Amino acid sequence: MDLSVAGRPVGDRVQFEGGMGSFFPAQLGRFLLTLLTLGIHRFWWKTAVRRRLWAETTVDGDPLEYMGRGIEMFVGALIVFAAVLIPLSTLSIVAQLLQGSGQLLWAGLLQLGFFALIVWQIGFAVYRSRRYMLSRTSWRGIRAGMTGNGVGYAWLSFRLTLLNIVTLGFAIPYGDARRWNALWGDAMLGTMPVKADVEWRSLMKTFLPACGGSILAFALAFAMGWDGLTQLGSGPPAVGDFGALRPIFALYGYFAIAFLASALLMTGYRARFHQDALAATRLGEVQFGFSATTGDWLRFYAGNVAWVVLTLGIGGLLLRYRLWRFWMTHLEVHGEIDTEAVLQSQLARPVQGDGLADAFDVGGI
Amino acid sequence: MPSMSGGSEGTAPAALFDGESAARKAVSIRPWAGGLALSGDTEALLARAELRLVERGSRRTVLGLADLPDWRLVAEPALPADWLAGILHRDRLTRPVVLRLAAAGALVAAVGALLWLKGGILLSTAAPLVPASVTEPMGKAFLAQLVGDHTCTTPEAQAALGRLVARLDPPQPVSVTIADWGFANAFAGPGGQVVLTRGLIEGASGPDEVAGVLAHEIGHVAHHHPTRALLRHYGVSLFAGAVGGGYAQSADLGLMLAASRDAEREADRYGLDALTAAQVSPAGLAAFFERQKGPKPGPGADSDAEDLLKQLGSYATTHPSDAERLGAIRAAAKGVDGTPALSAEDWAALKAACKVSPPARSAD
Repeated sequence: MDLSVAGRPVGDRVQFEGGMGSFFPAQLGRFLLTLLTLGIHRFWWKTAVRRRLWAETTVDGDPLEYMGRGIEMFVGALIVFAAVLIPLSTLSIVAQLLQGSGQLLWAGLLQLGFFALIVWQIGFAVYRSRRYMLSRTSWRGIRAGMTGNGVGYAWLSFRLTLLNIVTLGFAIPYGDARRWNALWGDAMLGTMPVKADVEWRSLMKTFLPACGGSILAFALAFAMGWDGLTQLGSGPPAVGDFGALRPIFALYGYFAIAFLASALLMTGYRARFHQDALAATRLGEVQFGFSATTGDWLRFYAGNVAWVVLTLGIGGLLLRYRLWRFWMTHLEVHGEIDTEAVLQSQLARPVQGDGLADAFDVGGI
Repeated sequence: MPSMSGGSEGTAPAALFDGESAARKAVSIRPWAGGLALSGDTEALLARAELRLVERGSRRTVLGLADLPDWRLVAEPALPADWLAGILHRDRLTRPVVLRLAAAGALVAAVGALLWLKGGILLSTAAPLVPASVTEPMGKAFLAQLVGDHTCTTPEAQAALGRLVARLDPPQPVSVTIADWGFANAFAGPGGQVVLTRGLIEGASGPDEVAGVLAHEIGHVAHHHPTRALLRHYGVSLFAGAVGGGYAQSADLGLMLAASRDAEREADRYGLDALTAAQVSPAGLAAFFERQKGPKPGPGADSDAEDLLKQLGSYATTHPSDAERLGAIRAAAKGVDGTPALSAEDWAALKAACKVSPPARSAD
């Protein structure tokens, strides 16, 4: 890691200085305001969270800035209601009418088209919300952004979803790599483009053992819990018949263990993916990195669950903070950026944001 | 670095970004009479009126310019408060904008309040206007999704139900289906679709009880309640979800439950009138509610704790209290001395509907 950047001493070049103690009380007020306004305030809430988290994050000593506004997200939600949700629900009404009048073939085709449209729109939503977020993010007075309009990405994501269905999930690393490359490959800081070329074949080396281990774990659970399975197949046991219940409980126990083992293995894959993905992402001479290990991810997830469960849900207000802190503490930046060469972004800025992602509930921060 | 905290004298270190390139210019800030003065890589006098406060944290102060949206002056440590006096926050709204926003907010709140209080009128006015060409297929789809193949049909039972419906004289065509479910309940769907459960018929004290429940469901049909629920689902709830997310949907659910309790009262009233006109004693309907309330389930009903809970849950929320309804029904029952709703043969055929059909199911 570099010793100094632009004459400033640096240790970790990405720093998150936000504290949970000041974050939480602010969220409590916003949450109450959101309840009082029947949810409308949530757009301003989300904006305020981003502003705060961005402002508390520095790269090479200079803070990020989030320039978005709540009203932009609110308008985005209204547009999505008119342009997306109304047509989609009309389509579903028509499908019901066709089903009710006996036109089962047409109803089925329409239903299929409906789901295809939703899959397409989810990809579109992911791209557009990322584009909006980057267009409102600036560092050293220079705005980020994305070059595409999301249509190409929506088709890519659509094809990858189909591929995943056809290959029973074995195309996950391929899809992850293609999606990452497509999304970040379109990103820019000012006039400097981001380049991303994650290699899916090397991801397979982590994914296939994780997948094989998961299949093995579930196969073992099946085999060891066979008695319980046959017990379940022969109908529900009488109340209080503990002799009959024991193999069923054992079956559930084996499945819980298999599920945990599979989650563990897959978290190993996720950790590896993020390490590879950021190492393969560059901004000019800057190369990124991500230091989170499988253990870090597991501690992060376990911490989230603990906060939510132990506080009866109130800790859920901290999840955005925890996600951002996790990312910023593990994000690494290597290499010098030629700041004189990074000029102000010439990309068109989307006028409204996030509506589609909000409607489909995608996106984290 | 000299300490700047609280002092109005001296200078403070800062970085300047001109918004054209990412180059970092080191500057010193010092106050002057009109605002802030910069020296170092860039020399400038900045007036308070053109400066905007972007971020005022404990570690640093970020300033912007009114005319250059990307220009940033980042002072670390934070500038003393008195240096910033008279500088507007970036988000500070001008007076006309505030007035316009307030007017828009008041309008939205007024429309919202009106819809909240009187939106039911809008829905009940619109519901009868939905043509049968829409409600009938919707009703069939509703029936297919709700009941599917789990129906009981014999020609005798259908004929008996037909005679019962005719006697209750519905204002619109009504089609009755018996669902092969053990719990006692009944549903009304769009397009005059009414579903009675096996548990309701098998556990009934007599045909008057089934007639009472059927009259109540016909009341829902006559008042277009299912169509109203559809309109609510596709209109109001969708919009509430789009704008307010889960929060608004919860509020909408509360409204829906309130509307549902009103609808139950309307259906009760209609049902009582229809029973009276058909010379069927409403005591049967009263018996049904007593059975719902009572601790012992009917002989045909599943004694599953789960089913019981389900019934209790739905009646606790979507329906008015049984005591209130029972009072009204008992009062109406006093004036009517009717004849049995079905002949003995018809009643026997109805009770036998699930015993013989369909062959695929295990005998029970």
